[in-house]
Amino acid sequence: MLRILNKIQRIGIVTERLPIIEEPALEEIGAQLKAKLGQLFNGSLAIREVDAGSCNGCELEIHALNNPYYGIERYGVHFVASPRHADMLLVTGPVSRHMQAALSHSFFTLILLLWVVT
Amino acid sequence: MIDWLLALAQTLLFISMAPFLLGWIKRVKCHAQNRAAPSLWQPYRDLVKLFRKHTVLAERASWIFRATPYIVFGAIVLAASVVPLVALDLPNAAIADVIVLVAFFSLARCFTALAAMDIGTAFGGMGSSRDMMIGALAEPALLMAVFTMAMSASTTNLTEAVTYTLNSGLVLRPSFIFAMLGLMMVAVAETGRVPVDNPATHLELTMVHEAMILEYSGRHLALIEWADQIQLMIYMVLIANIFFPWGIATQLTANDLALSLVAITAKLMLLGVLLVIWETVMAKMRLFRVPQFLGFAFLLSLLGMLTHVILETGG
Repeated sequence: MLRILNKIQRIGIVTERLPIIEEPALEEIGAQLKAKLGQLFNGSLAIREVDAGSCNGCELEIHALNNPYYGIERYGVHFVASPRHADMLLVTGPVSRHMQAALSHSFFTLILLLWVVT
Repeated sequence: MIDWLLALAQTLLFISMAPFLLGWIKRVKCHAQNRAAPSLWQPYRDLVKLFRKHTVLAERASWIFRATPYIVFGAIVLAASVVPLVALDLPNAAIADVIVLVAFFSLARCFTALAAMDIGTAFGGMGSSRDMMIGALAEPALLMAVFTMAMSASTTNLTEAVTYTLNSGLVLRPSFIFAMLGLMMVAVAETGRVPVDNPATHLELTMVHEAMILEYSGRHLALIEWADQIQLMIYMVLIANIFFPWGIATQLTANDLALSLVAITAKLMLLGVLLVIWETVMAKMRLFRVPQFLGFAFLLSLLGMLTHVILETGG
């Protein structure tokens, strides 16, 4: 017990800090994006991820978003277990025949759908 | 009149601070996981978002499914209103005693379980049966811990019990230590924290409480989540104020109330850190080991009562 607490103490916060961007063009795009997304995404986003036949590469990356290093949760974005809790449906893969029914089912249980990202 | 207004203000403070407490626990937990934490106001943002969203009902949802969020939220808010948070001499404390408080929890639990079965999904029924098993084992232990406290103070009224602890000064009571440990274990089980349940799980097979609310959306989900946050806060306030009541306002002066507010905030934050340390060093246990865990909680509470009878009475 003490060992794990010591380890936590020793390692400290590992989350990557945001790089400082000094490109004016990027900043402009950022401001436009922020204005557009600000109405929909107000610091809280729940994502339901459906794997419709992907190679699991996407899942690895999505999983990495949740780890302490990238820590997407600090921006209020989290993955949920039910499409009813979600604001966004994240679909990976080319939609295989076996996942078609499940995907359309979870699509229709979604409410106030913000985005479908594929 | 001013008393009732203060009582109302205390209840409002209680329910409005509950998401903040969860935010604090999440923040400490993130630090324990070596990650940068979301803002302390994140639970409020999530709740506001959910309140603004539409609600979707399953086709086969009956009135039970629709009424449950309101019943759960109502029961938990009523329970919160009888728990002394910052002041003792408030009139609402006379409405209900600690047994009614436990009954409010059971009412909320019962309706959540019914609503989960109402839709007819597999996970809902599974969650209900698991939650009822945990509830059936946790509530006797909770009542036993509460009775230990009630026997010492000769009352089941929370305010009078807190006054009793406050007046008897710093006395080492073995019965209270046992009862407190029992109550802490029950609190962990009842609020769905590690090792009994994991509030952040995505794995349906290991869910207990989450499995029951999978079908809820929009404002229904917001009400249920808010009620859960309030319930967690009720347990923490109970532990803080029954066993360590020092600092709570006995007179309704501005000075006392301010001091009491600072004291309860400090106590809750400390308890939050303790909870996170507990969750960090424990792993979630198998469902079939939960009865042993709760049996131990019951045993501790029973020992508390026995030590009270053997050591602290008579003479």
